[in-house]
Amino acid sequence: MTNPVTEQDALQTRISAYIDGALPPQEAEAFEAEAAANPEVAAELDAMLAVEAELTAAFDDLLDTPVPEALEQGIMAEQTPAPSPAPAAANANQPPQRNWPALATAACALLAVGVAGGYGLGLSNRAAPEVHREYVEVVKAPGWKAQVADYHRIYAAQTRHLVEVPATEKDHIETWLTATIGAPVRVPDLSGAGYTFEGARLLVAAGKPVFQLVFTDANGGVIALCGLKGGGNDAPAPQEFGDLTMIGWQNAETDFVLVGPAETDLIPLAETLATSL
Amino acid sequence: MQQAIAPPPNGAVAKPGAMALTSPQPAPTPWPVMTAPPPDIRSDLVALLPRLRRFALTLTRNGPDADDLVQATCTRALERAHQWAPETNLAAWTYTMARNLWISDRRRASTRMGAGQVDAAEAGLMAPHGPADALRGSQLMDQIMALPEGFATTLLLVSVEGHSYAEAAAVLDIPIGTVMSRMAGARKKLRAALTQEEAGL
Repeated sequence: MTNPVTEQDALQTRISAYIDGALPPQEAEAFEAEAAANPEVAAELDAMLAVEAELTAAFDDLLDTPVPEALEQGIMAEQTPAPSPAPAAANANQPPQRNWPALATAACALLAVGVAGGYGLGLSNRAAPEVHREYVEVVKAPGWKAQVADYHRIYAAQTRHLVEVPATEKDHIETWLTATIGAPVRVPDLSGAGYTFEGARLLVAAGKPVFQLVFTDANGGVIALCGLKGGGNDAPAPQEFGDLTMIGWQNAETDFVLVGPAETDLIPLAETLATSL
Repeated sequence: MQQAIAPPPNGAVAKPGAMALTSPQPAPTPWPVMTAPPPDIRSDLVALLPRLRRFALTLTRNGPDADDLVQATCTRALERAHQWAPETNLAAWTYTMARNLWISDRRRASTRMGAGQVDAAEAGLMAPHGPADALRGSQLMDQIMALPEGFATTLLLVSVEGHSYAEAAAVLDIPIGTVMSRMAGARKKLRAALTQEEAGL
């Protein structure tokens, strides 16, 4: 005596384990033989695989929900649990500031490694105060841009989650970032130069909100226009950041930086932007 | 020419391992600190956020609680970064933490029971979607969230993220057999629901 409901139930249990690769090899082989011989078993397997495809797609859709910016900022602003003694640079460079983002420390370390490399691994035998002076110089020069560079290195590789708010929400991006930065943020049209607007993120650098507008070229190369409330008269000037090129300039209300891979010539674009923004 | 990177005379310099991810050269070791510097997991954690939120949503099954849980999980992960072994999976490590936090939160917060559950779409956790297929997607997600407690999380870990039964069992602190029966149970329910839906159309 067989109960069709129980039988189907047992079959589905087997199929489920089969899909997950959890059947012992012999049982898996036996199941495959059964599916090949019995159309009903094959149909049930197909149906359950179809469910599988649909549920995977449904879960993947959840990944497209923008992550609240507060979460990201909260993490990036967090001090690492056992911070090493604060580098002299951070203190020398900034008036007492409670939450100098630990990222600056990280940037210091990163740049220091580069500098050390440049000096023939010169960290050794150097008296500590001298080391500190080097850090001061390194940090002073790039300031918030070093942190933007760090962000760029991290986020440019996140091809699937390149941005927080997608380009389709351009109007929202402009209002949101203008309100957050405290200076007008406008998304420039760079399609003439071959760049597609992908969307935006909010970053935190030197304790200030920084907007990041992300563009890609036809080859998937990622560049970003970033900026924070500031202002001045600096004309576009390039700065090499190892694997990145950064061109900084200012207008009356904002400090900008255009960042992209080192091999990209961003100067013409930066000059166009400097006159149009 | 100096031959090797010697430790600096004192430890008062920036931590070398802090940005090991992007650092062009391996950080010099050994380093004269009392304990090994905790790995800087912040950027990895940020990159993990979309998945961590999705995981949290399968536990809490409502958006606001999921984000609170993600927040709490990240805070704890950063506090305990020194316990994380870099060669292990950061996702599994944070998932376990999220799961444990959620369980203890649930135990504590039986007083909040009246709040009721909000479905994923209402809670704003669903991706904005177009009319046809995406709608079906969100209906399916509602059904997934309506499965018995723990099923959606198991489904996510095994079906979607490809963890083995053993890995999922470790994250959820349940026996492997329970993972297996939840997987079968979830699939049967969803299969039945989709069949019904098709019949109803």
